[in-house]
Amino acid sequence: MENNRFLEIKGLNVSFYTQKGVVPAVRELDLWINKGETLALVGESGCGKSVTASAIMRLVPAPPGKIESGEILLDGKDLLRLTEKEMQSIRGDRISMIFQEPMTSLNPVFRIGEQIAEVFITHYSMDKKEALAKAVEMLDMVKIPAPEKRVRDYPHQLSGGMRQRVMIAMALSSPNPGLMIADEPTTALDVTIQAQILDLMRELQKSIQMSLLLITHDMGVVAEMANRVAVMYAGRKVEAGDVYDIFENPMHPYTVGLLNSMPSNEKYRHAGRLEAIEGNVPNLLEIGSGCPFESRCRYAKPVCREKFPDVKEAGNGHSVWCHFAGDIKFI
Amino acid sequence: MEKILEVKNLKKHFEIKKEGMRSSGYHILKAVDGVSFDVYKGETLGIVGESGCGKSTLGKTLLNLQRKTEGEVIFEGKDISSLSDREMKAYRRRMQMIFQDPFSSLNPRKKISYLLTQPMRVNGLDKEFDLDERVDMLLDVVGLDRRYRNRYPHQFSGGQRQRIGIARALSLRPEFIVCDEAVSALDVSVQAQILNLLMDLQQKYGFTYVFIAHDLAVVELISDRIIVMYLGRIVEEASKAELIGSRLHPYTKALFEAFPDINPRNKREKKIVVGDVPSPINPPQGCHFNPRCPNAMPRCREEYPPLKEIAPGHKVSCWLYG
Amino acid sequence: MNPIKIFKAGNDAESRAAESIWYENWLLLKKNRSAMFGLYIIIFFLFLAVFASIVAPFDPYLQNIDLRKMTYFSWPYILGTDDFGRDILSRIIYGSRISLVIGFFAVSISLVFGSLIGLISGFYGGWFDRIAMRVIDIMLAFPYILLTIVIVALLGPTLLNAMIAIGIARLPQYTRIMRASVLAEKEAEYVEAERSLGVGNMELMFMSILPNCLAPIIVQATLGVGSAIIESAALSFLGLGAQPPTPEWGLMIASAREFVSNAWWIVTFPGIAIVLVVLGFNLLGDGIRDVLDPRLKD
Repeated sequence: MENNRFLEIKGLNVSFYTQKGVVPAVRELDLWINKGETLALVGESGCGKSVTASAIMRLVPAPPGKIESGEILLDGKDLLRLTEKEMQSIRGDRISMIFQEPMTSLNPVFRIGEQIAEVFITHYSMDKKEALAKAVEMLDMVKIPAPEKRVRDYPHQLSGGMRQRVMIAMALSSPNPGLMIADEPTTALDVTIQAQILDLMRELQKSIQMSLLLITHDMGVVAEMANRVAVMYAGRKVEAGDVYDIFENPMHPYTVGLLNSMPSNEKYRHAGRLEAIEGNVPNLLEIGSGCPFESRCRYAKPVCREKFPDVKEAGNGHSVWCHFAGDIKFI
Repeated sequence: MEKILEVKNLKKHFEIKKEGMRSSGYHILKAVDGVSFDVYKGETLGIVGESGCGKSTLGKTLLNLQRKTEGEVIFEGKDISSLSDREMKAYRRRMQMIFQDPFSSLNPRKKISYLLTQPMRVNGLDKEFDLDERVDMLLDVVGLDRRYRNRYPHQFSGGQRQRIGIARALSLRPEFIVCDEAVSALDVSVQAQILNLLMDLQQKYGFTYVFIAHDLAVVELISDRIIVMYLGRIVEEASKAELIGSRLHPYTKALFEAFPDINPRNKREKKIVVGDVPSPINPPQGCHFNPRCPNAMPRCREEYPPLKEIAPGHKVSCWLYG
Repeated sequence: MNPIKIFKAGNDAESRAAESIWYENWLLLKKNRSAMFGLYIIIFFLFLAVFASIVAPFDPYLQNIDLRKMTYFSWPYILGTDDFGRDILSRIIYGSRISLVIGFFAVSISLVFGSLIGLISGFYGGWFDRIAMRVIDIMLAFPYILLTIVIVALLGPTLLNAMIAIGIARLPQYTRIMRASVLAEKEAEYVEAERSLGVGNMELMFMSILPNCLAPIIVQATLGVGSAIIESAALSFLGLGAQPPTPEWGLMIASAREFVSNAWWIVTFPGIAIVLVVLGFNLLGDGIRDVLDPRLKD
């Protein structure tokens, strides 16, 4: 198993030094992605999932951000020790990233064909004509209708779904696409378009054996896409495991709460009230050394406030960070 | 059941300047294009649809926040859509709106106590109530600490701000509330709290809601009846149970199919509807859904199907059923 | 996801005092060293202006025939005397009164009227907006100093008229800034929300929108005080502002220009005073801009 890991994060700590104090955005995060699999990193705003993505890309804005410690191993090489120049050759080649709002990552004054062709010109040293022909090919691959015409469009002439397809085409144009990080790739899209994009991503991933790190807040998208799931809360990983284990046998009160909060959960088909998690996401500035979920957890005991729990294994790679994992009977 | 609101052939069109340097003149964007429905006292009517379907414009036109182009909105026997701002003021108290964005819908420079008392002051309720007491009461009702009254909006989280928005809407003791994507900007766990709060308040005070959202699951949870919109028109209308039991319009089916299921074993082969949502400026001829519809027939490209009652209370606008 | 937003949003500390946005901005401004330096300069000159009669060693108008040959650094005339034997230090101290009054007065004119026109233009649009904007365009088409001179020439060359002229000539900038912010702010959801609650236009305009549009106007006004002081000095230098023997800095430089080659101190010290005050306002204005500009903040 060990050598199958494409990317491995060990003990990652990221902080933001703001005027009001140090915000521990990610703490002691361990994570790995096998070749060809989809890992979903799921959590609500402020849980550190997007910061983790920026850390992998080494794009944490500094200042105020700072990667305090940890290793990010890509094929055994620590990305955090690379020079900026070495890192640039990895970004967009081995690791590519797509964002929630593709408009912000496409240059509005260039035609989309030129932007895709640019990738072929830099990474494959093709001439412009060849590269443009390749661009048409890529647009066809992501199922954009009439690609010969579309290459001449500017980003604003495309719909949100089409732009996201263009982003995916660019991400896949690199010579060695190994890992794609998708940060809320469908959150800004309509449901029917979201279904199309998710479908496309799954299909392409299968055909080129690429790993996918899917960052999302939507448990529905997770269920649809993921092989493995890591649940984050306020900078900490609280539960991780196989997608079936997480959905069918969740062991952390937060994961349970998250699933119960989904209006699409089967059990609300006819009944009214949701089983919501009470309270608000804690202020990261005021988090102590205990379990960050303690203030909202209905099963919390004094020990939860004092100490962040050690990992508990439930077999099949299902790990939980809760003092009472396995002891709690969820209603 | 008693009707509280009756909408008759409501239209809201916008003039959009044509793009390009050489062209002049306007396109007509038919955001809401001939919509009729009733809202009954004490119910929740859900309106669901994707971007550009006109659901938000419809909500604002219902409250006369945007002037209609044509049609009628009858609230307790009076067509409020043709009232002047002055005449409308008497109805503003009774019809309120909860907005989508909890960050931009509260004035950032005002304290919570100001935000909650302003509506009562401008509506002359300050003689009727002790405003201080009323702020405490409103904060209690929406589950916020009374001590928060002297804080500013930026000191709250999204969920707390949405509670403030709800408290503000309640300050005037309305009967009819339009919730425009009231939970879609919130985190899942907080969204559930706010949905519960809205349902509790309805039970307690007997509000009538028009609940507008793009999230089918949310709408199906909270609503008694549901309207599905596509490009400015109603394509299906039914009670919740009826709609869950039999989704008739191909678009309703597509919307439901596209919605991600939270059961990972259901990664079944789904029928995913193709194509983009067309621009509402230039909708397809005939039935607006025909270019994406798996069941499109020649007739669909020519004529827009009328909204027909198929079963009691279940209306659908599709040639498959006509 | 922005980590700074996170801690802003989810704060539950029970006993924390209410902090208005202005108070938070002040805390941020206090950390900006150059802005605080600017503020100290301004406070220093304000102090001189208010207590001029106590601080100044001499009467600024008092001529000393014996010293008519312009002394250079001699006790008790620390900065020397001018061609009438008047103490330059005292004249500069009294001059700070005039300069600060000019700065604040001229800026108040453009601030109040410019913002008001901008606010109404942006809020209501329509014919008022069209007419106001065309007039503003015409005003902006004139070279700025020429416009000021024309207005002074029309009103007559006195110090008060110079201030009014500077105020009017700078008015278009305030109008434009205010109109732009109002147009943006008008679209905010809270405006629609308050409308739906029955809040009338006047209250919306002055109580809701205006406080949210003040930030860029405050920056402009702070920087504007500095430039108004320079401009009034220029007008006085041209003989269109303060008239002799008023101890106005620009006028002091103008009336001594023929002695520049043999009595440099007469022109230099008022010049330094102008530079310092203007620097103070510019540093403070830049600092305020850094604090209020949301793009720099996030």
